[in-house]
Amino acid sequence: MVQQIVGEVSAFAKDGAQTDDMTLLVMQVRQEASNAELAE
Amino acid sequence: MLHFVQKTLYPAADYPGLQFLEEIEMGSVGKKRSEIAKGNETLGRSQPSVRVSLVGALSDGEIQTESLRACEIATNYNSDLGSVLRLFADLQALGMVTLQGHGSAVIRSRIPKEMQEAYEIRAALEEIGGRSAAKALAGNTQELRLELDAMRAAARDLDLDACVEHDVTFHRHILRASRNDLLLKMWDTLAFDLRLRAVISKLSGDLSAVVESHQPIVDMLGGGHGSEAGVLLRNHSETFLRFLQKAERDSRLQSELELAANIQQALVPERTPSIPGLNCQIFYKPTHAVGGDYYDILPFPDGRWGIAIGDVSGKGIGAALLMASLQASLRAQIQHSLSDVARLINNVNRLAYESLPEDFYATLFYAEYHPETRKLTYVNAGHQPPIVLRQTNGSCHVHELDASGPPVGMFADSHHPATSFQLEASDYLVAYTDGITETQTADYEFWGHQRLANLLCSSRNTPANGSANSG
Repeated sequence: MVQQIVGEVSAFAKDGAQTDDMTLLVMQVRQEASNAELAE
Repeated sequence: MLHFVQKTLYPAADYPGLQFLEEIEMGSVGKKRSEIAKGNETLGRSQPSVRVSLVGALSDGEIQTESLRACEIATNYNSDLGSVLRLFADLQALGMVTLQGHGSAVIRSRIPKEMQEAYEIRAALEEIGGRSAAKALAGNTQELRLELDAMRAAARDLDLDACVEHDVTFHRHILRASRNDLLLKMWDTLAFDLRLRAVISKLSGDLSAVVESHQPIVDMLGGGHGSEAGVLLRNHSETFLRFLQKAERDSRLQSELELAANIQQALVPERTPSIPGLNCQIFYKPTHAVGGDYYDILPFPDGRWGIAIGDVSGKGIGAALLMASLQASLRAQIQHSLSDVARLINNVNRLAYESLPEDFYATLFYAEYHPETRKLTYVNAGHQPPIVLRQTNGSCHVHELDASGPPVGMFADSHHPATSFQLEASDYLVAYTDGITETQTADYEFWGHQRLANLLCSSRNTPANGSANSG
């Protein structure tokens, strides 16, 4: 998902310059791990 | 004194190249450059490449060792031992090295202050020389014009070696025309041939301007205007010195920026951490060498995880220092293992307010994630609201974790209440800085928050794992 967002942003800017630092955190809650933890 | 040292250390009989240097000192160097080049070749003087390369490397501080071994330099620069030893002698005369036994030299100073003093003396000498030379050069500047044209061609081709050669010949021609032998001898002892080679590479951006500053000198001498030519020659040397000082500052600043970038890189997590029950992906790209964005992911001993993202005011070194300070404050508070997130951020705010200069502040989103319960407890101090993306009954819902207080460091007594959010399996938590949403086209159109939300909804089935850290 991160690659997709960054790709979209870059494509949008086209000839525009990066004007500020870019940071992106993406976290997805895993189904299987959470179930295992809940079972404990 | 350059030549005295050379003669003392290396008798001319042992090193034929010194014989050539003696000729220079005796004033026989009214030779054409081609003759000098031929003399260099015949006498086996070191080729320009090793002179430019080694002197430039010493001047730039690129050589990290404290001493130089002639045999190693000869091998590394494809030169011969005798040439390198002669170069060492020249470098000692410039104050850049001290000769030791067994063909070695200790580096004395990488940026000798003497360089500046030499150019100040040069300015005075050339002013005197220019005044006197105008009589001889009035209407007779053909050689100077040829040298200037050659300098222009060399600058165009970025042939720094040739540029130095023609520059030195240009100035020496004026001093010879002054018919003041003592003046010429004093000028020679300053060894501008080597000094220029030491610094010429630093001027690449300003080389054309330096070369063109010779034209007015030619014009004044050609017109027989001695006083004006003298002033121009003095200005020329002083301007060159200013160019050097500017280049030195730029170079130092660049080195400091690189160091700061390395330090900053060490401050952010080296790799994407593995938080139980979460797939994490991080992208980080500063605009300049150092950035003002901040993120951190920190494990607590009791299983909680701290997740931080922030953006400090300003850009460049100032922002990077502030970012480091913010990280230190947050980590220091986390050491106390406070269970109260609001209190933790209020403490960070107070520390930031007390320790940072006025008008410096940082937006900060800080959350603690409990893998067992999937509960997120967070404080948003003026940061772009992170997004939680949830799919319910086939439709996409966007929840924004809005700011609950001003940026940290802005007010002494601001309070940042904590909020809890219950994450569910398959939820996405997306946190970002304004560099993402404020990216703009050449027509100044922002990408914007809505485009981000739309994109997240349309790509919610894409897994989030691995790392895309570009910083």
